[in-house]
Amino acid sequence: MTGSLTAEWLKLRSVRSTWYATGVAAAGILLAALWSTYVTRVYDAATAEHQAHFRAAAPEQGFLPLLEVCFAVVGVLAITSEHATGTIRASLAAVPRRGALLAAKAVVVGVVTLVAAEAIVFAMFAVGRALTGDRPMGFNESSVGETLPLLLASGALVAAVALVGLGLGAALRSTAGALIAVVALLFVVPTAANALPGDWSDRVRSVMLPDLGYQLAGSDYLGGLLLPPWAAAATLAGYVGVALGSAAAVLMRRDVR
Amino acid sequence: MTGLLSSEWLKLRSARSTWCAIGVVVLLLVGTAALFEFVAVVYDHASEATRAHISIVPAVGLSGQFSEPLLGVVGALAVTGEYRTGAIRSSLVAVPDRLRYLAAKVVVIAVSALVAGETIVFAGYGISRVIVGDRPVILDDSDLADQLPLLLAHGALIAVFALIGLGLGTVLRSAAGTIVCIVAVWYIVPIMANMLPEPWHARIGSVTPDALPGQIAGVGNPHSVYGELLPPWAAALVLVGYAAVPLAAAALLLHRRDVR
Repeated sequence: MTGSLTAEWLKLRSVRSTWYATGVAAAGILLAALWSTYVTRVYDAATAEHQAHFRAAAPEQGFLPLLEVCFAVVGVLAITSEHATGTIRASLAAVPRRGALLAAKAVVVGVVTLVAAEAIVFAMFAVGRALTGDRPMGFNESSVGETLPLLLASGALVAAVALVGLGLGAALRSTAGALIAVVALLFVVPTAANALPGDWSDRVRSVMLPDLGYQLAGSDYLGGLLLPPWAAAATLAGYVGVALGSAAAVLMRRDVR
Repeated sequence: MTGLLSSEWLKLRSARSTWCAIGVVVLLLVGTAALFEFVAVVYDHASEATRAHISIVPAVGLSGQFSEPLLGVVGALAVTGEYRTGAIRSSLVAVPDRLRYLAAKVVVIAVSALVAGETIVFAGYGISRVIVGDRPVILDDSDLADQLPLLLAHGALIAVFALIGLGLGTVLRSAAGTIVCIVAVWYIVPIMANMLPEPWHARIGSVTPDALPGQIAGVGNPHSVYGELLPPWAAALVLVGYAAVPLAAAALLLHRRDVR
């Protein structure tokens, strides 16, 4: 298993796309700095009355969709690029147990995206807090300890999205198809759920992939909280499990083209 | 040019991805129909007091808006598919004039995507109206004649996304990179603009793609996060720019760069 893990880690860090995607995600830190500078200037220019009601969104939450998409691409390409270039044949000749190959990919993608996403989320948080200083804007009024669960959960959500991408990529064997499927899970289905009438939109939203992060942390971000943390964790594990499970089923049963 | 156009049309309709995309569009329309049916059922079972609070965005905000990245992918794959398989080399041997090659792709993608876009928008409108009947649940319930400019503009926006995909796909030569850019333009930039305080909230919100149909039709963007600062002609110009800028970059790079 160590050999497969080393091989997958080598593959992941030696392709250009991993660095492009991580670079774009890390550019989120720059965006967080721009954003914090801008709201600070707006705050300073506002009247005292306006300042009392001033509310801004936390940059690490606002730019989280950028991280989700970037690391989903890392997860998808970890497998679809092998199908596109044909190296999947060499990979499976080297690791004939297909489940082991998928497991090694899942471990490497999961760990790498978790570490990278947590690092970027914490950096965005630090930049946001440092630049807004002690001006009360809602998002920066909680203590670091109070925000910590949400920061950790946000990074974990991004890693889970990357694993869903890996699973969908292995199941669909197409970069475009898997990316569209991830985008559907992240943006299309939740937006459609918003259109549901009455309580139904909250109920359906509570199990949508991008909404599991703050529920996992038990945070009241965005107001609505339907799932307790354990249920959000189970739902998130369910997304990853279904994606990787279907990937394993497809990989083990189908011939490699 | 006829030979070129027919070869591009043959490539487009013989790719599996085109048919997958059509399948997903049908699914989107079925999903939209299910959503409106659900709202209608909820409305019928609700008391008089709660009925007033039941509403749903027009179908163009669902199946129409969701089709944009999908058609963007179709446009992207029309060229990144050629780079991935190496077919670009034989294509350019057959058509050494690279600008003519790109022009033929632009024409075929633009026409097919415009037909697809208008079909999706009007099918969504028709389906939602038939299902909802005379229940006052759709947020914009003006009649078809009033909505015609908005619906036509939205169909055109869907076609513009296909051209963005084609242009960026030629520039980036990678399906993954192009799709990420399309999703960024379609969703990520608008939601980030939505977080900004005024005046940039409305400024950026007015030039994001989905803000344009409402401004072109002169009805603005009620019930949405988008701004409405542009007059119709300026919004139409921005819409054209979304297609023209990536395509111009594509023409320049295709002309100058070697094919790998």
